[in-house]
Amino acid sequence: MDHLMEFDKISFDYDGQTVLEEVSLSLRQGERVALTGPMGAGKTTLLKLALGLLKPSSGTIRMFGETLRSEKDFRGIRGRAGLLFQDSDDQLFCPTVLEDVAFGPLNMGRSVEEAEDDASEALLRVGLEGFERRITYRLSGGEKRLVALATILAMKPDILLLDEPSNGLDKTAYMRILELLPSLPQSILIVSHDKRLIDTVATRRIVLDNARVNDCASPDSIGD
Amino acid sequence: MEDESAAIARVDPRARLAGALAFATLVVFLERWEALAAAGVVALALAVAAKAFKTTTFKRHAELNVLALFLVLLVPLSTPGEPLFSLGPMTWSREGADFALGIAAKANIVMLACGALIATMDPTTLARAAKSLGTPGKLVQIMFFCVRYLDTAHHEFHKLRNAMRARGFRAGCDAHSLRSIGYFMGMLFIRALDRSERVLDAMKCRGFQGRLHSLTVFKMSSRDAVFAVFLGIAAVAVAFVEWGRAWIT
Repeated sequence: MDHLMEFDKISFDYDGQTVLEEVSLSLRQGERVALTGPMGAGKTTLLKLALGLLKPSSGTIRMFGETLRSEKDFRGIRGRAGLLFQDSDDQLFCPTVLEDVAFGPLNMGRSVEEAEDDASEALLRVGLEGFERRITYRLSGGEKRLVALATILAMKPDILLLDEPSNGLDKTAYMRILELLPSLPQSILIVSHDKRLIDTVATRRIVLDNARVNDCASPDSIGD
Repeated sequence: MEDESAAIARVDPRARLAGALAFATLVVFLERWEALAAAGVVALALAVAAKAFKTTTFKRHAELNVLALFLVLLVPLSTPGEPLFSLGPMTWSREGADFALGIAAKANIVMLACGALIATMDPTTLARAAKSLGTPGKLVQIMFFCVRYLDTAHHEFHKLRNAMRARGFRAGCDAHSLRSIGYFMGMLFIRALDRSERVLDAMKCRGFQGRLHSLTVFKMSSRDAVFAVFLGIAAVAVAFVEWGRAWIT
C-alpha cells in the first residue's frame, strides 16, 4: 500500500459557498507534504474531511486503502491518523497532562499501564518529561502545543495531520517543533504559513487556492 | 485544595462521598436539639480530621448564615404558635423560631461535614468517585467538562469584556447598555457552543465513543474500614440520641 491517504475529486460547500471544488491529492508512505494557501482557502476543512469530521458534497476519500463513507468507517481509522488542532485549548480537556496524553491510547483499548507508558514516551519525545502531573489549562501556549502534539503521538498513528503547528509558539517550543517534526517516522500533512517550518519539514508542497489544488514537486518550486 | 497531611485525605474518595451523603441524610431527619448537638460534634471531628478550618470554610459558613438569619427573622412571623415576642403588629412564635433555628443548625452541620469530606477533594476525583458509586456517566461527564472549561469561559468572558472596555463601553441603565450586554452574553454562548463542537471533534479524533476512561484506580484499604466504622458508630450514636427512647420503649 503506497498511498496512505487519497482525496479523489472532493468538493465541499458551506452555506451555499464552494470551499473545495474537485480537489484531488494524495499522501504516500513516508511523505511530508505542506499544504499552503491563503486564509479561508479550505486547508483546515481538508484536514477535517480526512477524519470524517465534515462530510464532502461529492468525491471519494480513501485512507489506508479503504474507501470511507460513514461515521463508522471513519471511526476505524481515527487512531491511525492524528490531527493536531489549530487551537490547543480545543484539544486538551483533561485535568492533568498525563491523563490528556493517555486519553487516546485508553480509547484505543490499551490497558491503564500501557496507556501510561505510551503517554510518558510521547511526552519524552516532545521534551516534556516531568510534566505528567501538571494542570493542562495552566500551561503556557508553547507547552500546550507540545502536549497537544504528544496526545496524538501517544496513539502511534501512521499519519500526522498538523494544522498550523508553529502558531503562537515561543522560541523554545518553536525550535523543539522544528527539530522534532523531521525526525518523526510518520507521513505528515502540514498546514502552515511558516516558510521556515515548511522548508525544514516538507518534501512536497500543495497550494490550495480558489477552492482548487495546485500540486508542486518540491517546497521551493512555488514562491510565497 | 486538599491538605495531603490530613487523615481524611488518605481515605478512599468513594468512602468519603458515600459517608458524606449518608451523614447528611441522617442530619436532615433529626429533630431533637441534643441529637443535632451530637451531629455537630461529629461534623467538627470530621473537619478537624480533614484540617478544613481555613478562611474559605469560615467564609462559606458566614455566607450560609446570612441566609439563615433571614430565615430566623421571617419564618417565626408566619408560623402559628406560642408568642415569643411582639413588635407592633408583628408577633414571632416560639415554634417558628425553633423550626428556623433547626434548619440553620442542620445546614451548618451538613455544610461542615460535606466541606470536610467532599469539598477538600479535587473536582475530578469527586466526579470519578461519583461515577464509581453509580452516578450516571453523562452527569459525571458534564461535571468533568464544567470543571475543565470554567477557566476557559472565564478567560473568554474577560477577553470580551476588555474588548468592550477598550472601545469605551461603560455599563449603565440605558438601551445601549442593555443591548450591548445582550450581545455580550449571546457572543459568550455562541463561542462556548463553537468550542464545545471543536472539543468534541478533537475527542472523536482520539477515538472517543461516549465513554471517558480514567487512569485513576481507586483501592479500598484498612484505613477506609476504620473510617467507615468511626462514621458508622457516630451515626448510630446520633440516631440513638434522636430515636433512642422510642427504641427502648
